[in-house]
Amino acid sequence: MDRKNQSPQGQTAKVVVEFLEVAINCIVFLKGFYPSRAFERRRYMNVVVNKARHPQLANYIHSSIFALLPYIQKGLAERVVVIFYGKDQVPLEKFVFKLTVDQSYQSSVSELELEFALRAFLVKLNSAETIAKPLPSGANWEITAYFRELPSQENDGEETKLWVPTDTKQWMQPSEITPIKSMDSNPLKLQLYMEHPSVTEQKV
Amino acid sequence: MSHSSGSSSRKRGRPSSKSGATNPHKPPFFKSSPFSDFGSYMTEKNRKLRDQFETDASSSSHGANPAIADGGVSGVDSQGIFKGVAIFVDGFTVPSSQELKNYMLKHGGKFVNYFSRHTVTHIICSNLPDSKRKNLRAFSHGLPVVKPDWIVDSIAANTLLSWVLYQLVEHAITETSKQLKLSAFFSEKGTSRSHHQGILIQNETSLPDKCKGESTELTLSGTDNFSQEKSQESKHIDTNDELKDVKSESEEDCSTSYVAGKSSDHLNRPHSTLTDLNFVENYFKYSRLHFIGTWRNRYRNRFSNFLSGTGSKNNNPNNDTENLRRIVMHIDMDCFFVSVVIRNFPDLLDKPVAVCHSNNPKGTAEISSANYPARSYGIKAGMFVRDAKARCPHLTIFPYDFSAYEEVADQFYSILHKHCEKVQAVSCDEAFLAVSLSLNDNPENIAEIIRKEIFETTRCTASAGIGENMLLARLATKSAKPNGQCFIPLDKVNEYLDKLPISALPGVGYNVEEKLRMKEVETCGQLRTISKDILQKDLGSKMGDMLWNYCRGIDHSVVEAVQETKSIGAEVNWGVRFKDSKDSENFLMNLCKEVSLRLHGCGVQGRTITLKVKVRKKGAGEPLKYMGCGDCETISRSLTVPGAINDVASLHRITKQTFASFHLDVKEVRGVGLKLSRLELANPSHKGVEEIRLELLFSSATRKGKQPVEQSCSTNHSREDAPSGACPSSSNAVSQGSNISELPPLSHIDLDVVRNLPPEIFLEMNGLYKGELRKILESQQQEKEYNSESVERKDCRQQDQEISTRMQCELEPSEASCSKSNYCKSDLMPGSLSQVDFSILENLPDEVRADILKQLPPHRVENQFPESSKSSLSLGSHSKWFEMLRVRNCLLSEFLLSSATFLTPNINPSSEEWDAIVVNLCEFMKEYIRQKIESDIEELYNCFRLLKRLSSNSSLLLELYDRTLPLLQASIGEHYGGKLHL
Repeated sequence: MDRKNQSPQGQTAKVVVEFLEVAINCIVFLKGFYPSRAFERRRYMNVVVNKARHPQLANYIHSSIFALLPYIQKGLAERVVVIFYGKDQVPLEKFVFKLTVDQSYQSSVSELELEFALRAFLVKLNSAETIAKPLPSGANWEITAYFRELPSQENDGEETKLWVPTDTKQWMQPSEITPIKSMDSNPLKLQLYMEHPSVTEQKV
Repeated sequence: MSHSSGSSSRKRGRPSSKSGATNPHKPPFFKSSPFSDFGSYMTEKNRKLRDQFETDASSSSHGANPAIADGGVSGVDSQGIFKGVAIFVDGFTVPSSQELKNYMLKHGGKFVNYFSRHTVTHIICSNLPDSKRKNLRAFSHGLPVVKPDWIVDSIAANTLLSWVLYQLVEHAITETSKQLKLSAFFSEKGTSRSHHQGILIQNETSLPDKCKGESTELTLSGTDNFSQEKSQESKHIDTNDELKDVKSESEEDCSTSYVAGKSSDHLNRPHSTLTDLNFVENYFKYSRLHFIGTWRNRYRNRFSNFLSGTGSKNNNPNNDTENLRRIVMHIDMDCFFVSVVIRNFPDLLDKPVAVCHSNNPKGTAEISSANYPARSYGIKAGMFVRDAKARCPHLTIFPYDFSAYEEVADQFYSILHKHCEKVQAVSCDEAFLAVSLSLNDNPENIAEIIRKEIFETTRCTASAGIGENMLLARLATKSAKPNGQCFIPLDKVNEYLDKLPISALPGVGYNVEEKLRMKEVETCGQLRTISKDILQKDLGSKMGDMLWNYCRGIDHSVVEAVQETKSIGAEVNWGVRFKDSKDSENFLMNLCKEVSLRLHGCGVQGRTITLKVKVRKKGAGEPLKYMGCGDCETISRSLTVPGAINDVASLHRITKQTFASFHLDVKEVRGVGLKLSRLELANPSHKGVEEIRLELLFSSATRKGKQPVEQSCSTNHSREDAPSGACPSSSNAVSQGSNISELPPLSHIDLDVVRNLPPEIFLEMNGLYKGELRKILESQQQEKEYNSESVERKDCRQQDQEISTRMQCELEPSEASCSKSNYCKSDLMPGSLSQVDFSILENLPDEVRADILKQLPPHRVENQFPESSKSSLSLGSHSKWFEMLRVRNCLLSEFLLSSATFLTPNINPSSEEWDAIVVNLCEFMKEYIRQKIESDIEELYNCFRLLKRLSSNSSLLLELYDRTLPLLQASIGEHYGGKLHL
């Protein structure tokens, strides 16, 4: 991206993408999906975070999130979800990042302010470990992005092809939502919450 | 994976099928490429080490406890006391890491070879380098850092002890000492010692003066090691005057004489802090040590022409030849204080004689000096007179004769200066000479000449020691005494030192001797066998280094003519008894005066003020020595001020503060010392700077950003405050030297300034004006309030008709506490949050309060404005609520949290008022949900969780919760396709 005529949206998107990568690393770590030694302690925005050490894992998170950059900038990506599945491919738990990037916002972005707000997410996330129940064996996980509209292949060329439509099974009942953190700093609104199947769903 | 672990087991010769079974391998994550990089290699290595360890553990516990293992009893032992503990050993430990590993093996713990935050639970180490100590968290990653004793003791106790006591770096130390002080403060108050004081006062008239100033100690200074015993120095004090005083008093009191018909028994002279207002002054007047201490100044003045460098040269004609050899000569008068006194009584020469304040044979005055015949009876300096008399009933005791001492000391030094240009004065009767010799000169001859001359002039004998350096010269003098001389040539040094007991070395006191005795080291020869490292480890680096050098006869110190004064102070350890805090304050004032005088005398100012207080040890009885300090604990505290001071007022202010900070029961105080260090030359121009600084300080404290402070007022007020000086923000600042000036008339005081003063100062001023100030302020206040109210009323009518005036008052800045508002200015923010007075915060204008609260760490915010919330519950419309939240700059959840306990208004649930409030609140809540649903469900979540929790106490909130929850869930469902999990 050209540095000179960076739009506030572009600027924000870059920060957000970076943040998402870190946050997803943290979530995967906190869920204990992989042995903890597969992660190393790093410092991001002055917060201790855990980053995947394994090249494949790190690459998966990095590439999928960075592929979202143009969509986030355009405000197309509505939600970025980390979904943990049980054995039967039914989602057990979702970590939802709900993004809203105000396209009409034109004044400059205070990156400092933005980082300050995002840092709170990481802190909260690290302390939200207790919310997360341990996963059963044979669990699986993926990163899913929800778009406001399907990106047209003609416009965006090759990159769009990397995305495959998801066949995630839906829950039958409305989910239970546990908010973790919200922020509202122009032009970005970001909320992180967890979704669990409702109690009745689990019985069925 | 399993293959590699198997091979490792084989290597150790312990094939164990059990290890595989008991240790399910964690699913290897890096299966595809175990050694793709260093990280995965280490992971694998760590795993392997762990497997090995566990194999060892199972086999060793089998070996250790076969019965249990065979019987299959999984008792406590097979679990081990260290179950769940994984240690990482850092550096050298006793017992060694290998032993520790074995302990862990036997007792069910884990031993980790490579540190990882996630596998290790405790870090074991004995020592930490300074850098790690300073940055402990970075090193330990928050894990406990524990001494190896923890493991040893735990095994001994056969249970897992708490590691807290074994922490390597104890944060507790300071805390405990603080706690001790507190508890002492509370518990000791009751145990009064008044009976003792009663006796004391009774005795005063009957007991003659004794041992005045036995334990005076003028703070020591200078660099040289040898001067420790006697180098108590203070520069000032008009010694001449003082001595005259002594003399005249002596002559007056000739009536009840002993020995020479002279007496310094000043009957009826009060001698404790209890009765004598000028105690401090008198104390130093009669002190021998004080004489020694102040003598140096006299000496410096008198011999300044010698000291300046161009001394006489008649001693050494070969001065400019090359083949010079420097030796050090140490000359010490033999029992100076005695021999000076008895030089006029030749018949007493070989009889036991001692010098002491008092001749009372039953007294507890201390012998200050005894001659050699007396010493043969076992009489030593520091002994009580009654003990000395018991040993030698015909002991003759003389009082001090300060003028004679002075005279002899002067003669002594003029002789020394005549023979040598480089003289380092240690005390009035002891000096080092740096002598340059040509090769064929015999140093002993020179010593002979000097000693002879001293004897002829003063009729007192002196001993001399000669050596290559100051240490050897000093040691030589010891063997030369009395009235002899000793030369230790270079080749005889080792021979001499071999048999020398270590206690003879300067700087070796009881403690060091005892420590070395444990190692069976008693002579320097034995000491030489110990390596420097071990000495430094046992005795500290400085001491170890020094001893290592000394036992080899090495001493690098140089004979210096002039030594710089490093600190000036005064200390009183005798006769200190306070009845109440007034006594102590009085005493401190006098002590400050004394120190200030000394500072002025030397023309210096000090920046670091050290207050030392001796407090009676718990359980210690009345000291053996009459009015002595007895068994004491010594507390000291230093304070460094930005500008050097020497005036009484600032000294007193700081001293008083420091003294108060000890929280002592003044009745238990047995000694007080005040010392100033970091000396600077006093410069009158500094004074002005200080005053300006002070002024700035005060004006910054009074500035509120709104009204500029009038110059005249600010000076007015600073003048008033400087002497009292209780203002916390300026405690370290230097106050003016001016004493309490007259109060300006009330009408001259600018009330705006007064109102903006910090509360303490205001209270103090108010006290000075006997409460008038507050009255005036209050009356002004009411006027103001009335004004502001009416103005506001107009405003709000334009905004919102519904708002009641009552609410208005609530939300308006309440001016009443303006005088206190500056207390919370950001730069004056109290260090400890516990000091924030929330009742003050409450009364602040909203925007100011919001500012302040932003600066408070979150955990304190809970307590904010408890009062106002109660009334604001009944805020008129819901829009008013938003207004309030906006003004306070906080979220509803924060507000709920802060006012949790106050949200229970005593309104009848069935009344109309109740209904109105509920409807209003519901409206507000719905609006709030609408506002936040898109952007901040976290906040809504928090609000409702809080409401739910609080609703158990408040039927109002329950109602609110029940009414608004459906809307919330519906909105969430609409926006997020789920419902909140509350």
